Amino acid sequence: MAEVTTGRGGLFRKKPVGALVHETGADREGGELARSIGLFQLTMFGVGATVGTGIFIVLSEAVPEAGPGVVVSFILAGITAALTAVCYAELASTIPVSGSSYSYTYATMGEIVAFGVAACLLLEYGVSSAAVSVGWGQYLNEFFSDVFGFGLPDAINAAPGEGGFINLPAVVLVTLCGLLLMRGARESATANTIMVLIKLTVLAVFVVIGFSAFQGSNLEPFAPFGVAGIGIAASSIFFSFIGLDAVSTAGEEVHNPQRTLPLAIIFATVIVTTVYVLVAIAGVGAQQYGQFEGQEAGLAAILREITGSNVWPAILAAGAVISIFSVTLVTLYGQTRILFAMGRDGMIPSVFHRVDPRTLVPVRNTIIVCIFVGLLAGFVPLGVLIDLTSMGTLIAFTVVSIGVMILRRTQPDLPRGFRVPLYPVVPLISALFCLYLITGLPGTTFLLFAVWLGVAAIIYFTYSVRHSLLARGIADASEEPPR
Amino acid sequence: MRYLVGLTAVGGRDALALGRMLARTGDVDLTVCLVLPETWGHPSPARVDAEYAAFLRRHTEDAVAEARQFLGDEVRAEYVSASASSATEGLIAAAEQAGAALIVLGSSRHGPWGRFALGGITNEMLHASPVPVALVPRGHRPSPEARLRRVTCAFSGSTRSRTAFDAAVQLSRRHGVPLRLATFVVRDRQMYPSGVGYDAERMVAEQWRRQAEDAQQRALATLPEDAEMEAVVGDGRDWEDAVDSLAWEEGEVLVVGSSRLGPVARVFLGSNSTKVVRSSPVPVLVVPRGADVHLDDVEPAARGSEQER
Repeated sequence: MAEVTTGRGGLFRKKPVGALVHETGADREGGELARSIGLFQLTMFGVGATVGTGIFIVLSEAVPEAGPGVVVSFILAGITAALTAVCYAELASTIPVSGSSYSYTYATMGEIVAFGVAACLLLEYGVSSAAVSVGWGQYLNEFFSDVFGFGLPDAINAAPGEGGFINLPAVVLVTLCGLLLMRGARESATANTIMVLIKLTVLAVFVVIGFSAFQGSNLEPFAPFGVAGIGIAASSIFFSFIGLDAVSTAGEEVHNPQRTLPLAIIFATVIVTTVYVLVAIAGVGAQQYGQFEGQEAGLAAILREITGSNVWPAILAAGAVISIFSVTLVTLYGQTRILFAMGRDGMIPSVFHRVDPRTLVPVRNTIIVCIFVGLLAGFVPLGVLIDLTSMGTLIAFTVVSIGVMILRRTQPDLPRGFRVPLYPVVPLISALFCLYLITGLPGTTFLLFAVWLGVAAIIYFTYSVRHSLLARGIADASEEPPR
Repeated sequence: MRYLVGLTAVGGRDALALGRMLARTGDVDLTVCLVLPETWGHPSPARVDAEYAAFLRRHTEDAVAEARQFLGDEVRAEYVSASASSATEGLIAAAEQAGAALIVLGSSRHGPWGRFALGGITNEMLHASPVPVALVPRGHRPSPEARLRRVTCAFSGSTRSRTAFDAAVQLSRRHGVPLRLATFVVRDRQMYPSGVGYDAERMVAEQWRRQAEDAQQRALATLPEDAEMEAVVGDGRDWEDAVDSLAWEEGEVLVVGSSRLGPVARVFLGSNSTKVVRSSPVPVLVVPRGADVHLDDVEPAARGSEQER
């Protein structure tokens, strides 16, 4: 019987891959037709999920840390993101189920690690959607002041730590996205492509105008804070590369994954990194690195400095407002579905995987997520949110990279739709890069992260350890593949 | 027990055909109601209103004769006409006067063949009718001998579908046919891009399927054990496909609940019952929330005579 083998192992009990596949009904006959995603669309998914708030706000955080050398930081963060995405792709293609790295870890490294990863994913999705919506609020405000000549007062436009009382625009955005999700939102591949084009266009506008004001003297000194500064900036910048995993998880849906997945990851990374680097060069070339500190809606502010007009900043802000909206929607959506997967496994209460009979959507789950994210967005300063997001994501990716190596050893014969090239160099370097970037995060982030892990541990040991379906021997495994 | 068949200018035969089938299967009398525009009560000097009234009278006589011929002698039916400022008011008044337990209506003529399309009158009726309303797809034409074979209930386990369930149970008892519970799994949602895999919605759909199957079993457990019943799940890419994935018999009626959403909620949430109505290849009995459902006050003797026939 399944429960004899799965029930054992205590905290490190693993969920059989067969059970994971069975739960999605992927092995059911009939059902829907298999979708087939092509290279172009997959690349667009990667770009669409990645280019969000990050690039629009990160310069004001990162440039003061690294100086003009921030360009190198961007490349460093980009390489790390690409490496982790490749590792992610192998796990995703081996364990073709949804639920993100949480599910993969559950199958490879056991329950308690999976729970820890889920706690990190709550940062990667939940906290990051809060961060993204705060950035959205900045650009909305920028747009208002450019077009109507006035912005929202600080009291309702900034978190308590930043001289306000509540960040209302961010809360409104989270609420709107939540309503859409409760109704059963969908976003088509075409809509995504349009969003990508809008983003790239406004960034291109920035780059062109930025280069027109390029002054070589602004690049001196190139690295005022040395290599350490560049590394620290790369940690903050990593936030703007989160989302490349939208490519990795496409595994089953992709035509010829062994070729398409790595190509899409490479193309998406190259496009995103190129755009970011160009934006960074245009930015640091246009003004002295000291001026970046504290610039709200940074890119628009630089454009106004250069052109002295409100038109270009308004165009940029409008593009940002439109395109970041879809990123918030997608990130919130991801968070609800990860919690759904956890609820299904009995790790958290079943309210998270109840489907509403009318909308066929996990409505209560969505409400809880939106309240949580809305509070974060309304009351926590952006810098804290960004660093926490990077922390969670980098840890989750480290675990994924190690997971690839573990699964290669424990289950070498499992069919893999995609295999990491240059094994074991790539997953090793990937894990090391992640760890290196983690060291660049500020001390308070480590503290907050430790507190958060503590909370997660309390939840795990008081609830999940007894309620988990595996613990109760109710794993819905029709077969038992692990050997 | 009496059912009302509403006839407007067109689409009458579809509705009559369902009325005939129901009347032949249960102990049901029909009231065929012809809805006419209201004439002005006072004579005008030029007597044009009188001409118009005469025209309406002739039209009524023709239509009644046609309906009588269509229904044949076996069906007990009475014929009335209702003049009212709105067809909806007329139909409801006629149904109340006749004591009808349900109202049968045909499709708007703009609908596709074989499906039902909501028109102005049917839309209003769904929001105003005090009793369940049966909507008949265009071109629904069972043979004169056809009988009701099965009642299917669109069931989701929500409180709203409880109303539909009760109505379906009553209908199946009244006509002595098996009951089938049908829940629909619709896989029309997808998020591009998605950081959690592109089959996350499959996970939600599977959970929904399990939840629905549990709810179905709980609902069926409330019925007497000797009742003929089954439960099925329709699964498809959209509502049309999900409804289509089930097998439908010729003499079948689908029962759905409708929540009488307010205008804002209707735009925002859409209505699953409307989608089912549009997709169904068989007549759909819509049970508005709060409607009077008394379809099964049937005496045993009547049921016996029904079986002899």
